This record gives sequence, structure tokens and C-alpha cells, in this order.
Amino acid sequence: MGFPPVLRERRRYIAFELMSKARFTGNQIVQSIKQEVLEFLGEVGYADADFEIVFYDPDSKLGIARTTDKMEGRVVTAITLLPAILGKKAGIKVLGVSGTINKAKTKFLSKNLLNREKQIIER
Amino acid sequence: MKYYDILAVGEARQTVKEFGFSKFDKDVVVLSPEETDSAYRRDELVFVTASNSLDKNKKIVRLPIDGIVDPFFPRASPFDKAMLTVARDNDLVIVITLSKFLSTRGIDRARLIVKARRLIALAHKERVPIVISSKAEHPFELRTPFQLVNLGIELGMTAEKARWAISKVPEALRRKK
Repeated sequence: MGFPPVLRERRRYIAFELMSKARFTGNQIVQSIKQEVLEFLGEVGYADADFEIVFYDPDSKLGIARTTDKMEGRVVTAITLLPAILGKKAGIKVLGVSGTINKAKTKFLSKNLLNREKQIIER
Repeated sequence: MKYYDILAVGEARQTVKEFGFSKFDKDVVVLSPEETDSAYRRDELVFVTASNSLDKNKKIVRLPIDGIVDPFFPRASPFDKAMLTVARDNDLVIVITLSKFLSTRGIDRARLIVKARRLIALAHKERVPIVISSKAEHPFELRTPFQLVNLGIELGMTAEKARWAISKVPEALRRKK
């Protein structure tokens, strides 16, 4: 017996890019972002947001986070207010928000990866 | 003197495609009151910080300025209804910056959010335009227009007004010059 569709919360996938000169492991990034969101939203807000980082690629510095449609704005604000990771200056650029993970990947991440490849070729 | 572009990195694929600050052809300058006169004559947009915008008697300085940056900062802000009325009469805008929120944490940031919310509610009542900017001093402090709009909404603005705060209002300021 699955969870009835009417009671399921609608998900939103936030595509983001890390801006930092320092190199961090995936786990460090995930923990820092989660901690920031937890600090901003509080425990109840965090539970409402059902926040999770779906994946993060340390090489391309691109990732996707998951939340609910009601808390989407707050989570974006929480991510926006991340000033540093492990004491080193960093920022997170939200590339866009989508309702499905596939759309988030194709619409926001693939373009960024292509742009990055172009930049590398131009160099 | 401290120069920087107030930027909201604009990209064509962003939901908010408005020009925002990203197409500004002038530097936005934050100055001390002594320097505003010459900058204003040079046709630059002149903003002063909250502490510089008041004289000894806590009255808004009579200088040619375009806006006041973060009037809810520092802690005991004297900005009230009367001051916002003066700001409106002098065609000033209130600039709320992201960098202030980035530089604080925990309870300090919570207090800042409360003050910003109160100020925005009052500015809305007094019809003083609000601008949201990154005020980035470092590239990593820059955020996308979408993120700035979300910050505005979190601070109590409607989605429409938050979008205007990064697009129409700064553009109107530029046209005024």
C-alpha cells in the first residue's frame, strides 16, 4: 500500500551551482548546505521543507536539492544566505527550480555543463 | 571612497528576465556626505549609508542623494514614519542589501529580518520605493535575480514588488539622471 496521491506533497527540484575557489568534498558541501537550511528554517521548518540534496557533483560544482512546493521560496532564501563553507568564502547560485528532476537536469544543468565545456575549449 | 557595481547577475534563461542592475551603465557609488555633491554633479547615482544620511539632530541630510542604504542598520535605527515621508518627498529610494544578511548569523540575522520587514511594511505604506541589491564586494557574494526576488518575498514584499525592486525601480532611477 503506497501513500495516497492526494496526501503526497508536490516536490520542487532546485538546481544550483557552487561558487568557490576552494575545493570541497561532496559530503562537506551537502552538510554545510543542510546546516544552513536548518539554521534558517528551524527544525519544524526543515521538516516542512522535507529538504534533501539529491545529488552534487564536486567536479562541475553543480547539484540538485529537493524540497516541497510550499517551502520552495524559503529554501531558496536559505541557500542564498550561505556566506561560507568551512570558513572559506563561497556562495550558491540558484540556476532554477523545476517540478521534476529530469527537467531540472536538462533545463538547468546540461546547459551549464555545455557552457563550461565551451569555456574550457576556448581557453 | 568605495566603488562597486551593484549587480544582480542577469542571464537570459532566468525566470526574471528583467534588466535589473545587470545592465547598468554607471557605477553605483556609496559615499560619505562630503563627497556626494561632486559625485552628483558627475551624473552618478549617489547612495549614502544610513548613518551618513542623518545629521547631528537626526534629520536627513540636505544633500543631493538618490537613496539610502540599509536604514535599519545599525541597531538603533531612527528611521520612522516621518523620516520615510521626508524620503518620499525628496524622491529617495531605500536600498536593502543582501550583503548585510550574509555578514550576520543566528539571532543577529533574525533581528535584521524583523527590522527589514518592519521597514518594508512602513515603506509600502508611505509609498517609498525599495531596491534590493547584492552590494557585493566579492564575486561570491553575487546572487541571481531569482534569489534576490525570493529574499524580497521573504522580507514581506509581494512577488510583483520584489520583481520591481530589482528591475523597474532601479531603471526609473537611471532614467531620472
